[in-house]
Amino acid sequence: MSSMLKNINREDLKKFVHYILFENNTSGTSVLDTQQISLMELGEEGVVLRAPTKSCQQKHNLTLYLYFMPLELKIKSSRDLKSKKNKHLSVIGIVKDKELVEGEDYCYIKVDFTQFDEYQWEQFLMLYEERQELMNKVARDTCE
Amino acid sequence: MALDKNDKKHQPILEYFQGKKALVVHPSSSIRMTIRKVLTGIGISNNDITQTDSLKEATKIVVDERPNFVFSFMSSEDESCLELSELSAKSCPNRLRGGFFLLTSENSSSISSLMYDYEIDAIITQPYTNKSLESAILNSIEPKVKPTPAFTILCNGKEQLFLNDEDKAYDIFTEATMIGKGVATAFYYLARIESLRNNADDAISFIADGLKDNPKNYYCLSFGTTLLFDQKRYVEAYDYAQKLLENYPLSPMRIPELIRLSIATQNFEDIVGFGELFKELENLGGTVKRYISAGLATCGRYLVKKDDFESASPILKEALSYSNGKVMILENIVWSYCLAGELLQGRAVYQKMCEVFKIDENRMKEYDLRMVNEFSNDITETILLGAKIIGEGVSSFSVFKLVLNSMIGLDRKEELREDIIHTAIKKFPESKDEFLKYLN
Repeated sequence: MSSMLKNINREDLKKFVHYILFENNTSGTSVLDTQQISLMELGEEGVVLRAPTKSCQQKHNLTLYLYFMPLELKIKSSRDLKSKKNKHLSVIGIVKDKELVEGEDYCYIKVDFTQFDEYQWEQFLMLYEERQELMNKVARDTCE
Repeated sequence: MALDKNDKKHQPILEYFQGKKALVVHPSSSIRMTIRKVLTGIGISNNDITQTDSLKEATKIVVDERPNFVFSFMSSEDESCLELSELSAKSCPNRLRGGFFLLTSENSSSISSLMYDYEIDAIITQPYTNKSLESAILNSIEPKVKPTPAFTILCNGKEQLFLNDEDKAYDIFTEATMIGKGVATAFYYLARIESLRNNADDAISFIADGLKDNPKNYYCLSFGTTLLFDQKRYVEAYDYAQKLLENYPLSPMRIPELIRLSIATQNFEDIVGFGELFKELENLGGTVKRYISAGLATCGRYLVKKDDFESASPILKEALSYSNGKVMILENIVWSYCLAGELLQGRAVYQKMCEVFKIDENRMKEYDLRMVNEFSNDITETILLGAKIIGEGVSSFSVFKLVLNSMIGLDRKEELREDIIHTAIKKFPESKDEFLKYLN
């Protein structure tokens, strides 16, 4: 009996993900823990994030850093955020809405971009559109 | 991006969604709003869309209002939306007229298998864009907009299953198998019905018929593996599992079952290999991690029972690293340490993990007592620890019973028992007689 392991692809288990961190330019603080913040929605000129409740307030100005995997340099301080060792995309935006979640220490924030490279951002959106296409394809193939 | 109403090719989609009701479940109102916009863009009236931020409320809405389509989030901490998918199918049983869409940041290829193991039409990966959201919905809805006769008959059969009319469903699926080619899924449903009727041999036979029609049919391979495993036909089950893995990404929920299958077939190469396969995997979602952890815990426990603690130890450590604080898995892992004669290590690991994952302190103390009671050679240790945690406020029925039984075993003086008995009676007055027996 040959082992079933040869048919298992480790890559199938991995998430397609970009880490996101931000500097709050209004309060002078930063979120440096990649586990505490995640991208939920990508708009043409903004994003919805899940972030720590106390990390920002409405109308605060943020610089978002979106990192391509893998991270070459572990980010320990706000100085590391813009290090070129980690391939990343940065955008500046303003917190349009902040929604608290009852009983949780995270919130949802809607950030409208004020400064960003439109071409780079379009390319970034396409990565997730392609990912969804891949999931759609798996669904179609399995249906057959 | 709304569909152009003047474009002829969009007409069937817009007509399909007309008059259909939808429910959107997500904690974020921004996200609910985006989904709402996309839904109105593809033809659902704004008045027909209900929204809520909680799964509990969603359950009520699904029962009361029977929406055709449900869009629900799934977090790694809370998978109750999977139950919502089943409920949604029962409240709108003809799936030609309904659907369930899952929003999750777990976007690995393997998570797509959730669609087939549950009543889910599409997985919408987060973060999404308007375009990807719309494409996921339209891709999955396409066969429902212009259904083929084979698809229609399958949905009709499933409808009867959701309505709990097995006999009617059986007749419909039998009719479906006579269409010709492309009928493997109908055979799968016949197998499911036979399995519900406890006719395992007939069920397995239908699976074989389905695989003759399509040797790669996901449902037949998946259900066939489970059926054969349950019948202890392990070698055949292993063969089916192999074929499933050859053709589809590994479903994380299948990991524990596959490991049990490797154990049942005494495939030692697999058991140790699973440890290596899952070693230091990064970018895993919470759900995937949890199933890997449960599977590795099973591997570790098997090796411990085989007296091979050397092979078990690294696997148990990997299992711990993936456990994400799921308390049942943690307990399974530390129990394996205890089985290997490593009580102290097991207790230390458990205590540390409970602190890290902020597990309920009383539960932790009670489980610690169970470990000591089961594995310590010194019964006084159980009594002392039990009395201590009772004093600290841990007061479950089983803790009192465990300590009192240990005291009897050691023939402790009655006055030492009395305190515990009185505390127990105070806490559980309805069991007074049962506790008083310990005085004699």
